[in-house]
Amino acid sequence: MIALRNITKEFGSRGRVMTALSDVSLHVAAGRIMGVIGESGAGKSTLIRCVNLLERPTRGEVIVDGVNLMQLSPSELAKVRRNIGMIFQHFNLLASRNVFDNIAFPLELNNTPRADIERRVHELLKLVGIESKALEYPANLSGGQKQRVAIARALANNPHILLCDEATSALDPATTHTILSLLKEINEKMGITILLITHEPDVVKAICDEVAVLGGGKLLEVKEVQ
Amino acid sequence: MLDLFVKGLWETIVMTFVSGFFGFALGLPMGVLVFITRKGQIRENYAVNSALSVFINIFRAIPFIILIVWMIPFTRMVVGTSIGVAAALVPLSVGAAPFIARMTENSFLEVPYGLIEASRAMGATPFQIVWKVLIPEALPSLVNCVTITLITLIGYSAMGGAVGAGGLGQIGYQYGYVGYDLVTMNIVLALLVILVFIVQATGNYISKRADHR
Repeated sequence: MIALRNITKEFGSRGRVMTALSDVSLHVAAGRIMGVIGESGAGKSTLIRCVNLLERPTRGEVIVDGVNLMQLSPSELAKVRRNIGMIFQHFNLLASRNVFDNIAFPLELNNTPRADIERRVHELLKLVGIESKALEYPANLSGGQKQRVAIARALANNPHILLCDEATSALDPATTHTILSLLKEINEKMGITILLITHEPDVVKAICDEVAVLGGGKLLEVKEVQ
Repeated sequence: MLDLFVKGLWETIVMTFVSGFFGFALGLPMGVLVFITRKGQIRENYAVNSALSVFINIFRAIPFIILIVWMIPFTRMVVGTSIGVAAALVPLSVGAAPFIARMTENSFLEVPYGLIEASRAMGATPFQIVWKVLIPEALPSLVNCVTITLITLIGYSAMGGAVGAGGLGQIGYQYGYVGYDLVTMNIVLALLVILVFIVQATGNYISKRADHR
């Protein structure tokens, strides 16, 4: 469950203030897929970064699974973030690690024993369908394969929530379709709540239960997807 | 004569690598600190960043030959003498550290910001980000920093020779410059050139091996 309450985010200082988000409230129920759509500059990127406090809102509350993230200490926040997966437009895989070690990364962060890492990474490789690529480096993978690795990495700690930041915007239409099907499958199998932002209406139509429209930093409307 | 060159070469190698080691022991943490305290970075801190930056700039501004002399009291305190290889290690390490700090900072700047953001999103602590993301991702570039530093130190150590630091520099200076022995001077130069080539080639090889981009 994600609840954003009256989120306002201002950037800049000393007189020149730019308001990226103004009084946005959004609720995503557990197990749902919510799409946020809007033109570039509408505040989508800032909005999704407010959910795990990569950007700290100037005002408002961020509640994830009943916990108000704004009140947590940095170390408590780091722990909560391990239960919120995130994938990105440009994948953000570590070039210095192969596929296996990239997926193992979030598990290493909370000192998971090596044997458990081994077992979990193999499960995830299977889930996203890239078992044969375990020892490849990201530089040798296609865009779709990279995003599969990123999804596996995001799911490593069994998060309740997955944030998708323009996750298919760097992919061709066919690959976009397969990645979206994978996200849908994960949502159905694991009951994971997904918040995704996109500028492509087709993405919303393909997998979202609900859509929120953002424009000029304001939430314009929220509706069910037919 | 051969003994002289072997001894000189060995002293130069010792000075270069030992001061390179201590230079990194001092410079790498400084580079990490100056990077993570930059604006928008994981431990943004204007005061620490500016203070460190000023400190680095001051030490980088001091010409090495003057640094050696300027540091004599400190060198005496640390190693008990101001002449010889051990004494040269002190100004060499201190001279290299700020240089290494800046190069480390530059290497980290090349790491795409998205990787740091993704690590933060995964709940990595600042220490984990430095240790598991910044350093491994910047490794090919850091290896190049090591190479550049070692080669610079070979040059610096030769300069130290002029003030009694030992090594090939001193032989070149005494026999070549003071005694005008061209053969000795040219042998010294040839040895320095060979040393630089070996260090550069090894550095390139290791950097390439570490690079998966």
